[in-house]
Amino acid sequence: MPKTEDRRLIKAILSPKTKDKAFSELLDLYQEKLYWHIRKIVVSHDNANDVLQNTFIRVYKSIGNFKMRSSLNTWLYKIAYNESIRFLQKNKSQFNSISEINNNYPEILSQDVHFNGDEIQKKLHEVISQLTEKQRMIFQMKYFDDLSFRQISELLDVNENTLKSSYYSSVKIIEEKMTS
Amino acid sequence: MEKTDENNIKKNHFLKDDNNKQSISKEHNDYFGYKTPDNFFSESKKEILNSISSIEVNEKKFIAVKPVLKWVAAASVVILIISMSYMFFSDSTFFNNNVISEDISDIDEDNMLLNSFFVDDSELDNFIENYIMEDIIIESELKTDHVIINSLMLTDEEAEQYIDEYLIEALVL
Repeated sequence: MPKTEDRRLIKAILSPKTKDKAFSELLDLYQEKLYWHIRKIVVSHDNANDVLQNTFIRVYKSIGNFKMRSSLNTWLYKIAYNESIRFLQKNKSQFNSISEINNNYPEILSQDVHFNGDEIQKKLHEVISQLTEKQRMIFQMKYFDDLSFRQISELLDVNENTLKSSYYSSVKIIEEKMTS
Repeated sequence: MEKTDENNIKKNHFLKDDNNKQSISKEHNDYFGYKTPDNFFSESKKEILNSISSIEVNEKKFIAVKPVLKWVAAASVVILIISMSYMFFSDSTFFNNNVISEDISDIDEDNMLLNSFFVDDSELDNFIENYIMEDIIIESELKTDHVIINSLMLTDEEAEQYIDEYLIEALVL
């Protein structure tokens, strides 16, 4: 979305007369994308739903302080990412660290009632979980969320060339393991 | 057999088909096995809108200013303050303008010279004499004022001596 559109939307949200309609428009544009981004971090649908709500509440409260140093899209993804990590840190009763959650991703996923992947799809998730945490995040954001390398660079604070290298390396690993 | 063929296709084509772009939810469902409850997104939207309706947001003026412009503005203000301070403290006449000079001879000499340009040659001698006399009289009058004031602080005997000394001084000058 061009920056002029971002500005228009933010102004409309901050105005009492148009805020409801404008925020509804924001939800239409970003709700689904942010949900899937969150879901891949927190795994289960129920957790993703909670985090999604928290994300948009935080967006609503903070939008007046947004200085447009990045695009609105990047800013929203950043909030969603931070809320997801915050959720995992608060609820890591079963596992000792977020890395451990990543390592047990296929197991947690198969326990979710809102996952009905077949064997191939389960294998895909298993292979992805064998990547390093950073590799997995980059791969998911690029492959699943369709973010550009530039957007991922802003989100994770990683150089674009490093991201490209990591992504294509991950794709190669996954292809090899899936076809073996 | 069909299932095996289907699985083989999926195995070899796990990467989603970018030529056949679908909605993000459909892709997550078809390629990755993720599901959501029916009407989840519409219900979720209603819940979110209900949650935020109770939150008061202070109406703020949204001004997206490039960071560089803010620094330029700040630097301009600082330079202005420094310049004004420098001008204020470096201008010595600023203080001197408010101080009454008691040394009339400094001012009068210049004035006399300037004024003499407008006086006819034949009248010049008289002009100078009058000017000097006036100068002496004014100065001596001032000194006399000082004498009177200062003498108030002396005893009668001392005052007489003091006045004598100062009158002589005034006349000589």
